[in-house]
Amino acid sequence: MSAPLMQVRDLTMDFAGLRALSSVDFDVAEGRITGIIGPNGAGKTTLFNLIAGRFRPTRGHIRFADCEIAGLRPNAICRMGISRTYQTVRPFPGLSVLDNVRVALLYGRRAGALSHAEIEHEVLETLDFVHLRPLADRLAERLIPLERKRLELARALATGPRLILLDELIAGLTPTETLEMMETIRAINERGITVLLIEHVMKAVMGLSHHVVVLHHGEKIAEGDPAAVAQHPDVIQAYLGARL
Amino acid sequence: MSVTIAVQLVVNGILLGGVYALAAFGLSLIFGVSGVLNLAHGEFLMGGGLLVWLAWDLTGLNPFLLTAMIAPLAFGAGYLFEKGLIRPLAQRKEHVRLASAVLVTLGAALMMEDIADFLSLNTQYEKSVDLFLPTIVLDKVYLPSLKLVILGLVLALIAGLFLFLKRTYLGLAVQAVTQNRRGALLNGVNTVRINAIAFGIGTVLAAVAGGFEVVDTYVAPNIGLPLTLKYLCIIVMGGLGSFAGVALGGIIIGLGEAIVGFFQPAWGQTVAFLLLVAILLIRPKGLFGR
Amino acid sequence: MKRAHALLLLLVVLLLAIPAAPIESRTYVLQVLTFMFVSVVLAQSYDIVGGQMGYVNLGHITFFAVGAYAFGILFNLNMGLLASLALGTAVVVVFAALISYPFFRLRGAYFSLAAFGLVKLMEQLTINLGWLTGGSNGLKVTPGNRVLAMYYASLGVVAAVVVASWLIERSRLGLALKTIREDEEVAEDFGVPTFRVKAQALILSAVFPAIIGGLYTWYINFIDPNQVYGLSVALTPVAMAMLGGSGVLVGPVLGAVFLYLMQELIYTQTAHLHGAMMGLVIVLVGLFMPGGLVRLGPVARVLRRLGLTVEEA
Repeated sequence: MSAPLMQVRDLTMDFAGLRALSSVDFDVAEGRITGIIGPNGAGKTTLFNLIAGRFRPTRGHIRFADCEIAGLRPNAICRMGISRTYQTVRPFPGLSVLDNVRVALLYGRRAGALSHAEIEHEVLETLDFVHLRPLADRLAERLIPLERKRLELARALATGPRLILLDELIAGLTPTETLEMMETIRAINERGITVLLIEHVMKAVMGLSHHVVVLHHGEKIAEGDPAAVAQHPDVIQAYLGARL
Repeated sequence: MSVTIAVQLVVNGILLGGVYALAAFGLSLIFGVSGVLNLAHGEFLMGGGLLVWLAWDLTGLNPFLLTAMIAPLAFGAGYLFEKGLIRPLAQRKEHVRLASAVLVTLGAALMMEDIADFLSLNTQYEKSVDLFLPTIVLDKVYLPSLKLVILGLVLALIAGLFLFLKRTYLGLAVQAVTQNRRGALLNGVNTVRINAIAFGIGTVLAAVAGGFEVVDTYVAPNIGLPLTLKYLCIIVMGGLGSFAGVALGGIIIGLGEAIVGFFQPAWGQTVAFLLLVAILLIRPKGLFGR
Repeated sequence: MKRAHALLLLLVVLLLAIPAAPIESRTYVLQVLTFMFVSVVLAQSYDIVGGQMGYVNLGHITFFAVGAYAFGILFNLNMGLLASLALGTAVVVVFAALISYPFFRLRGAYFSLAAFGLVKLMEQLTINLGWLTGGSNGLKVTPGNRVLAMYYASLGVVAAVVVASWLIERSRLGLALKTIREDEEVAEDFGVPTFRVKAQALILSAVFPAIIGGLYTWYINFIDPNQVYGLSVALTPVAMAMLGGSGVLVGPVLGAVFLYLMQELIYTQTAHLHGAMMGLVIVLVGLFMPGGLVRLGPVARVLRRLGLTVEEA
């Protein structure tokens, strides 16, 4: 078993008297899909915010590819190979779909390494992958929510990440859309990109993840493969009997 | 430097800061509730002061009484100002709204200053109300009781504002909107009306400060903008939404001006801005900002 | 050739030819145009930070003022026109780089306010450092008949700032500026080095007012704090950019031309209340034209026909 891509140790985050995360420890294996689940307020998005560099943790370490990244600026973390999507979708509203993706290519991990022509080619390819090519010139603020999620995905992929953080991508989708999105996420993983995803839709998380970490009130209460976690008494109690 | 001078400077500084803080509270209220920096705020102070002077010149009545009498007018002016000039901007994208608000309020400030200037043609430029009250002398420190009266009134008004915000339903609604607009809206608060009321109250505070100013020193058409800047320095320095921050900011700037003004008169006016930059460099959200 | 390019060429030829045209009061026309060019440069350069990046820099005029004074001081030391301009501009560039540190820690209204305070601060500094700047009495430079030279020089700067804006907009930097305008936090999440980009934009926006400020001093021979730091002077570039259309290439130019002509009209036709009338115009622009002329239906259509697309506000 190769060394984990990312190691989180003793990660703790306090916000003016509120402890959002408490001594969280886990590893993220390279090339796998790891799911983060837990009831609302468990600290999942805070975890993503810490990994992506939005906040500096109160205490703890995040090691990514042999580098300590806790407390680094978001743009440095992006260039190291981590990108993300957001719980409430945030594409650049006044920019076209093309420009949204172009920015990621121009400033992401491969910034400066691609020629003008290569960038244009990559942009279109990425849009094809998420089925947004026909909407290339549309302003992001004019997209419907599903299209915006796809755009966020395209933008996150365009940075050339080694690890991608997906925050509730499936929430609010119809069953058909859910299956499509799950396929897309698998396809991303098959390209070799490590996936860390937060989800509430249990079927999706359990169906996609190789490994699951469960948070509750900022603490990790369980970890393991989906089947085992589903049976774990603490997890069941935390969800008060949610059916899995 | 002797102790008496030092004490005198501190006293002057606090008095100065107190009046600044009063008007700054008004601006802070407006900013907190509506998110708009009313750059014409200082002009309302100027207008209030000039109006009090005019009434005093015509009737000879007690200027403090006159100040109380123009308060309702000031409320109306603020209310209408919000309704006509600020409300239309609410729906715009953030940076567009900011630029629009800047243009609208600064344009209004320009108009008000120029009109006051025009109306002041052929009269003395700086107007002041002459009120003679005894000076209290405490061991070589001079305390003009006029300034003490004003400071007393300022403190009373600030206390009144504080009670209003914490104890009345309207005040709580104002706080709610300041902290979380959507939340307040979802709880049934009429945020549109609160905006207008906040503007009204804020303008009253400015106009009353103007009434104090014309008695204490003087009021002239061109004082509006430098004062507005000073208030903005105070509230940015103190941190948005913080009552204590505005009070502290006012005192710091008042003291700073008094002290620097004593040693280097020409630099007194730049103190406010220099303090602002210094504090923002250390704490970008202000002293108490969230 | 595209219609827009043809029209542009025609306009340029026209402007270049005016000094030779046999019209009476030609000197007056040249002077009016020269001052209009100054306004255009200020509005267009402001918009790099104000429109493309979305930071309403109310302190933009300080670049003009410092450039004007720096030139005047250097020119009076007999450094010659070009050297004074170059060195004066360098001073402004350093100034812009230095202030970007504290100022870009602020966002939105806080930033705009601090920037506006900078104007007052610089004005006060200029008055207080009388031994250097002449204080409130102003600064004089040796006069000369410079009408024609100034006309072409300022036209050149207009061309330069328009071309520069255009190049920035199409470049990687321009895209970064837009992302900062749209969502600065997310921009950083996707690799944009926001602090560096903001500083670059500020410096670029400072170069052109610095040059035109120096030329301005050279041209009118006398500057004082009121001329270069006045409230109206500080606000006008912002009003012009918004009136014409902030964030769109030709917007500030259109706004500057329109507002400048209106200013000329007000000042020459009425005796009093100039400030109030300009104030009113500015209020009306703020209230009714957030998108600017360029985004008004008929105007936008014409621009599209010319091949200049305009996205909505």
